Amino acid sequence: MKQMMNFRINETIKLNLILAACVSIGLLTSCEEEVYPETGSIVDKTPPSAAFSATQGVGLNDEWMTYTFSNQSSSATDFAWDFGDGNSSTDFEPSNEYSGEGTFDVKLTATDKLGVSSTYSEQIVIVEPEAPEAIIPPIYEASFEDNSLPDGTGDGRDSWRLSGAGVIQITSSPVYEGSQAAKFPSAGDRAAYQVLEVTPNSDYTLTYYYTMKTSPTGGNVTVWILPGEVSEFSQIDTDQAIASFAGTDQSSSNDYAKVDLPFSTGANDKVAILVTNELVESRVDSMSITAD
Amino acid sequence: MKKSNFLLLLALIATTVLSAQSVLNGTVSGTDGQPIPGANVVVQNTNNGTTTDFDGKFSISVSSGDVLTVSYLGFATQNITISNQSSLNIVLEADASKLDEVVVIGYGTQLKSNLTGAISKVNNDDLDQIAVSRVDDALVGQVSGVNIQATEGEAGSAPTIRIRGVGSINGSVDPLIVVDGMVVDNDYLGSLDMNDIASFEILKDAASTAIYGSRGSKGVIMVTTKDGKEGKTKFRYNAYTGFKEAHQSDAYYFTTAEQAEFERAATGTIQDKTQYKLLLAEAGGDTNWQDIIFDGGVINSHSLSVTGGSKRTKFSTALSYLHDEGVLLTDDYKRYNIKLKVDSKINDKLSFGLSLTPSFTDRQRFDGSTHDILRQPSWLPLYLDDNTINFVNRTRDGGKYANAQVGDYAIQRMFDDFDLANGVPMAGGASGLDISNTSNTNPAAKVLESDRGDKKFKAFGNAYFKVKFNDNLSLRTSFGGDYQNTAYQRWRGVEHNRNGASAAYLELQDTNRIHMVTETYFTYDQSYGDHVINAVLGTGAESWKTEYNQTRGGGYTSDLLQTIAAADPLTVTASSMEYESRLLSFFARINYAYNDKYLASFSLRRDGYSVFGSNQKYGDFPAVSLGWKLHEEDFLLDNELVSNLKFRVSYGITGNPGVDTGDDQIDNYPYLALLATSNAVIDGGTLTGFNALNISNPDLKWERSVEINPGVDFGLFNNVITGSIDYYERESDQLLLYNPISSTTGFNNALVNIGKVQNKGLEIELRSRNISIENFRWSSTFIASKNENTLLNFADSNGQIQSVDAKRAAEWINQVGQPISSFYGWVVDKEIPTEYLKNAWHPIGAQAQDVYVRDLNGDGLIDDDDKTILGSPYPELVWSFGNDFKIGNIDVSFLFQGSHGAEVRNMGDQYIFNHFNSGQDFDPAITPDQQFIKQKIFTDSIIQDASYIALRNVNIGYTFGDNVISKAGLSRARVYVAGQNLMYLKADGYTGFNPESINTTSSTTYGYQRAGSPVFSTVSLGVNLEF
Amino acid sequence: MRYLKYTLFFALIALISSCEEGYLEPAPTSVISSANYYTTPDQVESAVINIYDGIQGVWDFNMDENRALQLEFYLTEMRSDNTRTKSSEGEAAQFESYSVEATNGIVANYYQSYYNVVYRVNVVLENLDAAGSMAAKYEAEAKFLRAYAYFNLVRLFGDIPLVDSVISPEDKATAYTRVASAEIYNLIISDLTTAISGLDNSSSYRASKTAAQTLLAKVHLNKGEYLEAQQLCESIVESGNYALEANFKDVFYSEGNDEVIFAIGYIGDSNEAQNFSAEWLNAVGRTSGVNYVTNDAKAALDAMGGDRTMYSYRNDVSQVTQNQVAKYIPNGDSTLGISSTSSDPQRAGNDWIVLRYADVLLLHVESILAGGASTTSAAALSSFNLIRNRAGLANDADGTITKQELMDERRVELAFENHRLFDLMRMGEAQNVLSAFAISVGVGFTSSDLLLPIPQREINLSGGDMSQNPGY
Repeated sequence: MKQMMNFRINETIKLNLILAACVSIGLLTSCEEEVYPETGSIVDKTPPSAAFSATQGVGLNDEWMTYTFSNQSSSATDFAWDFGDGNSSTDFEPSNEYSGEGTFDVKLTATDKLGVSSTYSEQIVIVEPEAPEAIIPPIYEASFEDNSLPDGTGDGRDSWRLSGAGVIQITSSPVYEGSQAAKFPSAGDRAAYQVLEVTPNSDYTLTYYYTMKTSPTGGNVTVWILPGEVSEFSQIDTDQAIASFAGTDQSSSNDYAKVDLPFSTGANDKVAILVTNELVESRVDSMSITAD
Repeated sequence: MKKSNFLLLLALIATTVLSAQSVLNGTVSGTDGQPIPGANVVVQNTNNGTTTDFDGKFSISVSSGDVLTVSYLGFATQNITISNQSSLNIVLEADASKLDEVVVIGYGTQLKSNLTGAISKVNNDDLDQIAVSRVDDALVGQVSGVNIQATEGEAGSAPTIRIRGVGSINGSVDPLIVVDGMVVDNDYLGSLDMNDIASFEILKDAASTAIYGSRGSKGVIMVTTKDGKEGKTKFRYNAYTGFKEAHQSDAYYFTTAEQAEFERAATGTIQDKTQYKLLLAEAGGDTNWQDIIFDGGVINSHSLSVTGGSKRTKFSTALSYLHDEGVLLTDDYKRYNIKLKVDSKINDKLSFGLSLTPSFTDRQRFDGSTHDILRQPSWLPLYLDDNTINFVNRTRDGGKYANAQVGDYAIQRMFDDFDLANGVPMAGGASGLDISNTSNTNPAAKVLESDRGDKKFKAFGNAYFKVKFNDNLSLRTSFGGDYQNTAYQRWRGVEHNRNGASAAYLELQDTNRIHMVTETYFTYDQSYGDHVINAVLGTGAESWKTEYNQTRGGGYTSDLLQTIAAADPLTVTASSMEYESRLLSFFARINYAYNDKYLASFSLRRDGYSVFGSNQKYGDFPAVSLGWKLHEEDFLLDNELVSNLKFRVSYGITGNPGVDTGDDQIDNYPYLALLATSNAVIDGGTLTGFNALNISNPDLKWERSVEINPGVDFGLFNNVITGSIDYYERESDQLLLYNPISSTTGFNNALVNIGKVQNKGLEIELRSRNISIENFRWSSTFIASKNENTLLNFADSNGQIQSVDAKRAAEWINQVGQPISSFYGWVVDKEIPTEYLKNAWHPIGAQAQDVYVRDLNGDGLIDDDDKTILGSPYPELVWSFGNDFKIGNIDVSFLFQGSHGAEVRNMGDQYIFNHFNSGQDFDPAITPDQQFIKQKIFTDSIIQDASYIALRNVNIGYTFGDNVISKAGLSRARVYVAGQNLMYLKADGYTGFNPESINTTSSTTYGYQRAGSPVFSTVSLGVNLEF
Repeated sequence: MRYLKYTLFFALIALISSCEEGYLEPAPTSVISSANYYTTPDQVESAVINIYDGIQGVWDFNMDENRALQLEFYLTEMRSDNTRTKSSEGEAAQFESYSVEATNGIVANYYQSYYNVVYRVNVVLENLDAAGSMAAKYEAEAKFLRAYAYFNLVRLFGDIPLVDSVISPEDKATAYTRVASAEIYNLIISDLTTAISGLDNSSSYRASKTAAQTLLAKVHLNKGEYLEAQQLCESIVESGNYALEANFKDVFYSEGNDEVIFAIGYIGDSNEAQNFSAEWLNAVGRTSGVNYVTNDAKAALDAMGGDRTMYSYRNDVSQVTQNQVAKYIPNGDSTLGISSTSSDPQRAGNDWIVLRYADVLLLHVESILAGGASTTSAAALSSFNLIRNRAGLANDADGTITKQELMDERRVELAFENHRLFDLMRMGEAQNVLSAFAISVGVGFTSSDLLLPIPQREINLSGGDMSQNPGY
């Protein structure tokens, strides 16, 4: 019995040594400190890439000469700008005032702290913005003369045709100037139609001359300014007209009367001139257009 | 409840005293003189019987001529005829062949010596004396390979249980729970009464769990409740009262004076704000919000059980009550249990059994969050008193605080606009000195003025019929199920929110869940000569059906009526849903032993589960294991050193069906593309639309785990030292994952089977009876487990970076070759000197929300390239070391437990040090190297070591001598004092409340700690009575 | 042996009960499976309604829910010179300080919300066959909403993934490829063109012809196509369907009025409520107060607001040095004669106006200005003066509208309606104006701050395939 006991106690000591060992292993493992990588210890997967865009200033004075630059570079820390006019900057997003109109090569060099760099350049063309000048559209065969098209051809009415409407006649007298004018017979089944390229939201004046036979009375020769462009006479809706003038001066069949027809283009970059007549034979000559 | 329990007890004592008669006292011991507790002592052919106590002592009423039958597992049974002895000492011969324990395995039992899988058994010797409200809390440190962590601190809240690491990376990695052979909801562990539990068996390796097939991969916890024993009816009364106290974090408490000194030391002066704070602190005293929020509590438990039975019928009933006040403000947990269990033999062929265990739990929640509360400064009082009320500015905020009175909750904003020069609040709404750092109401008001909790009624019932066709073949059919009703309510009172009544609301939820199980299986036992065969063949079907209703109402003007009826009808909204899933199973197992030396076991289970697509519903889960009892071989017979040695190896395939998307509808029908109603407001009314809930996946299938587990069981020096060592390697693949996807798809996640995770580890269990002599016994237990988790494959999600909280998007990475859910981010280089902070000294001293980080690639920029892995949230080693002493009538036991190598992302620092406050920003005008500055939350700055060593349990008891107790008519009486966490060591560098406290997130973003709840220690007094 | 019978009987039941037909395929009961849905016009319409639900956003404070429109002010007003947080706290303060992180949750939420809207649209487009005679209308409606979503996304994030059909998670090419914004604009324009031809003006809470025209006009202005914009604006004006409210206050506090072209509706105290209005008020929402008025915006309104000023911002009673937005007040204001829209201000019922007629009139002026420095066009002046007169201000004094005057007028007319930042960017003045503003309030601004970062979540999920915007 006693031996048995001693024997056990010895074993117990052994056992507890084992336990102590295990526990201490446990504690040791707990003392592992997390080790993190140091600065600069890994490779850079994203080298710098340079990019920018430029915006011209807008304003009533000389803002147009100043350009603002938007920096769109990535993964870079330092920037060198060459504005192409001798000026330069190291700002992130500089702006530069140029001396005036011209073409400049703007260059941006983006660098990171590893010394890797990337360059991007763009050419900017600086022009002073014109106070939006209205275009003066050409009126072809404005005086209905033969061979008066730019290429020296034409019968004086080629530019005035519109399918669905009778083509106008040409008369040699009376004319306002030159040797021919447009003639609209009393049937009133003819129409002159020509489309002009204009500047939207601008004011123009169409000037022309007309004359009418003295009888029968009650007729008219009318010039319409219509928005947009049509390909068929049937598509014309004169209620849409931007402006129109109905000539009714029958005092003389030889003397031409002058008409100034002002109109504003509004939201149109195309308008059409339409000339029609009613009841009495009429003539139209020498059209011209001016912008106000 | 308590009272009536005592009354009942008294009544019972009385009756027994009356019926007391001439008694035979005796002891039962082994040949080595060691007392044998728990031996059966029965008068033959009667129901008169008893079992020996801890000292092998028994007392039984006999008359001369009776024959006593004394039996104990592992010993030869003895019959003694009584003449006229008054005392008797019986010595039982050890029967080596029977020195054995029966272990519960799925659909049957097996002798421990014949086990070929890794199964740990924990008997409920004194677990029921550990003052915790849940049985799983008591299991901490009891079994190797099982890591139980109290991740939420509220009374009654479930701990996180991980068996052999995280084998799955979806949400549901909790083990399967089986009570008395029936699978139950995990939540059920919260409703069990430890007093009624006989033992736990933890099935760890795949070969053991494969019999539960599709649900086996996360391990199985088998719970066996107490059965009636043949013999005299036995009453047991156990009770304890415990006092809980929270361990506070010193790192998270500063007095106003301390902060002021801190500031003066650094800047040579203190700013006006600080001076004002000092004034307030002097007036009202410093407030330690930890004292207020971690208010400690009392835990009470009473349990009365009555067991007994005749040859034919045995019964076991129990009645118990538990009340845990918890350590947090307002949290409270009450549990009532009743247990009825009857087993009866109708005749030799047919027997049946019935058990019913209804339980009711009433849980009161802590309706706040510790992080939010601990942001509060120490100068803010809880209530206004005669002094502090003088600092209230009654004119500011449009006269919001005009009627402030002593006893009102103090609110930071009340004290703003102060006139420091004259020491009074600014008059007439003029602006003055502000010290508030939030417009929130008083932190305690948030908790005290709301009422959130749930009441659960659960009933677990099971009935079985068993037919014994002959000695070899029997059939068992059982029907059972558990029903649970959860009534959840949340009331937000009119003072809860800074917006007052307009924010008050009541929300009610009602959930009914019915789980039905029916199982039928044949058992076949046969032995031909040296061949022993035990076989099982069966089928089962289960279904889960859930119904849910929710109602919410607002527009309350007072706290008087907390009903939906009292709400403004316009504000009442309601919703409801129901869903169902079903399982159909077939299983078979053969255990074979040859010559009692060579063991083999084969099993196969086929499971069909409704959640998966038509072509994927079924899964097959085979397993095989082999064993070799070397000690039965001639060369080891009668070996002095080695008394028991067994090698075993097992291999098995198990599954995990757990789909966890956070949406119950999707979880139950993920193979369908689901549409739910959505509303849009058109011309002042609402029109109903339909919105897609998910991306369907008809090919969704089981998560699969393949595990191999070599192990050895040994006994040395005639089993003085016994133990086992297991090594396991488990590879889980086709993981069910709610995988994040590009939100350009219209969804943020999709359910997929993807990837492969490996868990490998070592488990050691050592038990020794160190000393065992008259009146002195000492035994020790050492348990350790090491687990290593590695992500082996993650398809094209490899390197996937995730975050838990869109608002504070700290990152986790899941990278092949690393543990899953590794912390990810930038590496801290150095702190930002306080002089660069905008207002370093308000509200909390000298804490920058940002920090200089390392430019790992040295390109001068901090970007994603500079991020790295910062640690893992899973422990490498978990161990426990327990000792039991018995000196005369005194018994002492204690258990140390530790965990090492885990880390947490402790958001506590972020909140408590106000890292989201502009005052803690660096000043961009003067701070150098700003390109190297990042918020601390994205760095290792808040990654902390979560290792700990705890003295989990201490138990000192005194057992009264027979002479004393027999007078009282008792058969056993013991009083004890016990303690939990009396010592708790945290790793240095850990600043929070509790390294074990973890927020519930996905397993790919594990280890997120939002201040959490504190560690607490419990000291309890208890009594065990038997009669 | 007879007991055996019983037991076998039970065993049988056990098996039968489990082997019945379809035991493993219980049908969902409180949701429906989309497999056989979308077969009737009504069902397709339910998918159309679902798009509005997406824009409306989930009433919640949880950043995982799609909050959509309810977070828009953070990304627009608070990145302009109009608003800021009250106490520059948390990630909300990243916007005003032009230090937005790629991990910012608000940015991520908006990105995912609007791609979710796009997804809802694509579902409709894929099921048009079932819509029968309504197909054209639903297509137009859905495409307008997709254009609206992409127009916001492309202006906020620049080049973005182009998703014009329902894509699967496997389609990573589509999900992570950033398409040039020019192509995004092409989709927007074609969607809006379809919308214009297929829609009428029946409701201002659903897509309408005019809404599509207004949006298209804006798109053209962004691309410098002034004439197209002008023509669209003039056709809206000429249609005469909309008019300015006589009283500026009624624009916001008499919901569904004639000035509103397109609005997103909310209903107070319900799940269809919004919570942004409360967030704008100190200690009413969850935040400590966001979208507070900058001194810069206050000065502009004081100087040029006219009658609009008092209904645009008000003083914060609890912090007199602070000013709050006075549009969309949820809990009423007796002094302004505004009543509350809900009992719980965090569940407010104020609708959000996406497009209104005043916007169109000023776009008309902008289109005539056509990127120039000034205009004297009579048409421009008449639109311009309509806005000024409603605000109780006299006609433009010198008859010349400069670019600056137009920007100022838009700022005060549309203050805090999430237009300011987009206006500055569209008119090419963002970099100048915001740099100056940033300096004045002591924060750092660079032009790369005009675009938000692609959410880090997407970059991470793309495994490096997806590139980040410069500066992040």
